[in-house]
Amino acid sequence: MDGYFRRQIQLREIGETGQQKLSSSKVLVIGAGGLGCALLQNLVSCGVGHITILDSDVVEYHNLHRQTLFAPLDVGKSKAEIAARFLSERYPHCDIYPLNAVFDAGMAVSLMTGIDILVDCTDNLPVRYLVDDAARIFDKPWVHASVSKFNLQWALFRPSKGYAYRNIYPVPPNPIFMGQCNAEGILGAVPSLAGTLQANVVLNALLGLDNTDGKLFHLDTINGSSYAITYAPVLVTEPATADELINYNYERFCQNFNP
Amino acid sequence: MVNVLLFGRLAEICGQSNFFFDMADTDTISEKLRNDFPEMKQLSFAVAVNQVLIIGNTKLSDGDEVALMPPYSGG
Repeated sequence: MDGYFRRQIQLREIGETGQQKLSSSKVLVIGAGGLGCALLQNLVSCGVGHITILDSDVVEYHNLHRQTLFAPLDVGKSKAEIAARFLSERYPHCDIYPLNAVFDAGMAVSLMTGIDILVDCTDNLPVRYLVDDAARIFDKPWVHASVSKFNLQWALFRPSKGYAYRNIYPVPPNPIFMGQCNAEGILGAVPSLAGTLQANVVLNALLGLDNTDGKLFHLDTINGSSYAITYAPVLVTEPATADELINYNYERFCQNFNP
Repeated sequence: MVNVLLFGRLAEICGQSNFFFDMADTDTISEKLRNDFPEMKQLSFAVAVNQVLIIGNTKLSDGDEVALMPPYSGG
C-alpha cells in the first residue's frame, strides 16, 4: 500500500492483513438512496475493493438533500450509474459495477455466489424479506438499516446460522401503514447516519471484528438513547432452495397483514 | 409494575414513549394498547422482555421492562 490507508492500517485490529481483506472483498449494495449514498461513500473510502451497486431508480430533485453522491444536473439519470461514476473518479482503488435494475429473486440468484456480503439500503419490504431468504440460502451475511422519522434500526444478520430478520419480524407490517411511513418526511442527516452505521457493520464483518450476532440495535436521535434487543438463533426453513426463492411471491407475502 | 417502552410509530400513536402498567403478561399489555389506541391494530411489532425478544405470551414480574418495537421502512 502507498500510504493512502496508513491511518487505518495503524489500527492493531486491522493492519496490512485487514486492509488486504477489505481490498479483496466483494459487496453487493441494493439501493443507492439515503442509506446507500452514505454507506457507499464509507465502504469505498475505507478500501473495499469490489462493489456492485444495484438500483433501478433515477435521481429526483427532492433526493438531493440526503443523497449526497448526486448533483442537480444528475436529476433524471440512473442512481446506480451516477453513484458509480462519482465514486470511481474519487476512489480509483475500488472496482464499482453499477446495475440499473430491480433486485428480484432471479437477480439474487445470479449475484449471490460472487459476493461476500450484501447490504439492503432500500425502503422496500418485499426486497428486505427476499434479501433475508437469499442470504440464508446462499450462506451470506447481510446488513440491515432503516429509518422512521428520527429513529433508526440496524443489524447484522447471518440467516444461515439462524440470525434472520424473519426471526424478529415474521409478520410484515401492514403495507398501508408503510405507505404512510414513506410519506412522513425525513431529515437528511438521519438516513446518512443510518447508512454510515451500516457501513461500519459491513467493515467489521469483513474484518472479522463483529460480535453482534443476535442483536437488533435502535437509536433515537432526538433524545440520544440507544436500545438493543437480543434474540436466540432459529433457522428459518422456507423458502429452502434457489428454485423456491424464485417461485416465492414476496409482493403477496407483504400484502398479507395479519398480526 | 412493568415499564412498557414504545418505539417509532407506536410512541407517536400512543402520544408517549412509555407506560407503567400492573399487568401479568405481555399479551394483556398488547391487548390493552390495541383497545386504547385502535391504530395499533394496523401495526406488527416485536416484543422484548428485559431486552430479549419473546415469541408468544410471556409472564411478567414486578420491575420487568417490556419493549414494543415495530419494523421501520425508511431509507
